[in-house]
Amino acid sequence: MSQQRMAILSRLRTSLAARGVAQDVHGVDARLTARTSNLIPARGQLQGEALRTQFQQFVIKTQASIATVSSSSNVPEAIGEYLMTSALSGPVRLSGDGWLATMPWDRISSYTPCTGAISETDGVGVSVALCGIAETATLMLTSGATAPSGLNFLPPTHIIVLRGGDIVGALEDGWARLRLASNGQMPRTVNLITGPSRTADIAQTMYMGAHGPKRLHVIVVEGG
Amino acid sequence: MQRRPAAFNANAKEALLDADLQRALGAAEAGFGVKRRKAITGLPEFDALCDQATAIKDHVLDHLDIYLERFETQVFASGGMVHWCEDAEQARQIILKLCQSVNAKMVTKGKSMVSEEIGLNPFLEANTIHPVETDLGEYIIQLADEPPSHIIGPALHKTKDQVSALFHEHHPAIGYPDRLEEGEALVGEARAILRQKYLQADVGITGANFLIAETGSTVIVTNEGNGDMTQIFPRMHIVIASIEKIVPTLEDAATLLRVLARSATGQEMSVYTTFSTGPKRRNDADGPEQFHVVLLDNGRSELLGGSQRDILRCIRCGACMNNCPVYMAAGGHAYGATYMGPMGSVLTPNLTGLKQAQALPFASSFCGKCESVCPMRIPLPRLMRELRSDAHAARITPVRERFWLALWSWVAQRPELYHALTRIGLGVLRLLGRGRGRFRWLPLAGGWTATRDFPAPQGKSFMAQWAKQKRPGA
Repeated sequence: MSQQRMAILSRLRTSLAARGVAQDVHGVDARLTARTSNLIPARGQLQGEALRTQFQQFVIKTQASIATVSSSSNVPEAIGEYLMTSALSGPVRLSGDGWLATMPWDRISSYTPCTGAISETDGVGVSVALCGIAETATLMLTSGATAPSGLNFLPPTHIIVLRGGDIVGALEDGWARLRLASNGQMPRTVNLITGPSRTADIAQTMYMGAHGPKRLHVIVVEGG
Repeated sequence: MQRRPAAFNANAKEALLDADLQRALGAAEAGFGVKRRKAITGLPEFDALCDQATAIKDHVLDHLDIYLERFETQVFASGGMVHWCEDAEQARQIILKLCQSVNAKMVTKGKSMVSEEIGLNPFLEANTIHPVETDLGEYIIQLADEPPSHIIGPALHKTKDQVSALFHEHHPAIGYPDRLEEGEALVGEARAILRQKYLQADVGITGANFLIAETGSTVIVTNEGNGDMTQIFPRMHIVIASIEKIVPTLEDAATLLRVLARSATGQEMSVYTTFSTGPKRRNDADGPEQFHVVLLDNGRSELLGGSQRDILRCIRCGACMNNCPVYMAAGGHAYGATYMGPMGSVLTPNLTGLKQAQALPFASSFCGKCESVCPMRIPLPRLMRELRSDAHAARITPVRERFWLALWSWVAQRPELYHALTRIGLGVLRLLGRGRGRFRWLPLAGGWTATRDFPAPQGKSFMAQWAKQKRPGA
């Protein structure tokens, strides 16, 4: 490999030898394979109703909003209601997610729901989360053929749809879901999203909607 | 302000007289401490997590060579490239070559302190590639042609009025004629301007908070979302990161993330934490076609072997500067270097050489607050003290300072003489200060008496009183 690479590695080895650290290739590889969890805080270990309640509360704490629907066929109407109450307009750009495709979007046709390439003029982006992490109300979204990461950032309003059963306790539970869903191969992009975009770069005052979405709305679908 | 560490004292004096700067720092100081404390109170396990986070980085540093190799293997496996750079010049050259390979005219940039460290922007400009900073703070200081004054809040030194004036100076030329006063409107204008840039850029350059050896992922942590659009839309994504950013597994990253945001902004989690692994997959709906990781050494491999190694655990949360009375009085520009505050006062002399930066380890009152808030348990005062004594031993501190220190040290090592001199000194001061009980002026203490009176000693020295108390029956 490159000369620079060899030079850096050799300097590192000289430094480590000077400190008296023994090289432990086996130990490093064992650690990388074992992927042992470190301390998981109690707030990341809730289950059942407590888990759900905390997730809901923390979503609101991150300045996002949240609604629950009883079935996936109610998602479009719930979105329509949210857009109406917040006085927002479309077009509503849907990710190519297969689950979203099964929903009755014609019920909110006035907001022109559509799939396909993202446009700068899209008012709303709708994506599906792999899971929601109750520890910090963080949503995990992955890129793929039917999931453009750009949709999570470009439209001024972002709506994330989440199956109730995909709410987990800690970030570590999220990693387990991710490894399962992606067959051990990391997708190009994994977004951990905790609330809408914000900045404090002007005089330490918080303003929402710096570059990413100004509003984040989470819809939890009960019963899958 | 002079952009060199040797000018710290002169810079600090200038900073103290700058009313706008003092107003900006005042606003920052009040906010940071409260937010951090609140976040930590909400997580009873915080201290235990800091211990684990520290142990993770210690372990990585002890096996950094192997972890870097594993990281590289994983980047290759996911279709990316790794470029090893010994110094800033090599890093600039490889980034230029990569940009030229796709005929880049304009590149968008996420916030990166390593990019500042290698002086990337002026270099790209000189080679007719226009870099556009997209983090709002970085965008502001790019317009102002200033370096960052804080590692997580680059424009922390600017007041809202200054930002308003700056936008009005630059934005009319690109179709925004009105002067805006409100913060929300200013954010909105920058948002509208930068939105176009993400979509037009040929290359997106970001830094990395962490590099994951297990997966070959690079991680950015932001609140604005600018870094994400920087790395999603252009066809090439270049990550510039220093070699000590390695973390073994996703599980280890989880532990570090739990202490990072709480220590930095007092958030439980930053808004966007994004893991990038390789270029877009064949059928992916979006993402860059090329993914390059530029690994920078720039003195760190040597630093690893010495007694200052602990500074390599730093995860750049900024808690040390947010809680530093010297930083909050002088501001980040006074340090005249890329990294400021206590972590900068340790890192800069180690990266640039003590001779150029010997003033920085003296920019501390050793109150110890930095060490107490550091989530990575870096013994910052100890490291600064060590640098001070190195500078003294190398005879690069000012001659007058060395003379008085040597004299004091000679006396202090002779307790009988020391106590005798203190006794005489106290007696004389007590006698002279009888009338008023305080001094308006004292020889050799002009710095003190210029702004306040020096109280006259009221009795015997502490040591004398202690000795008296200890006598049986006294």
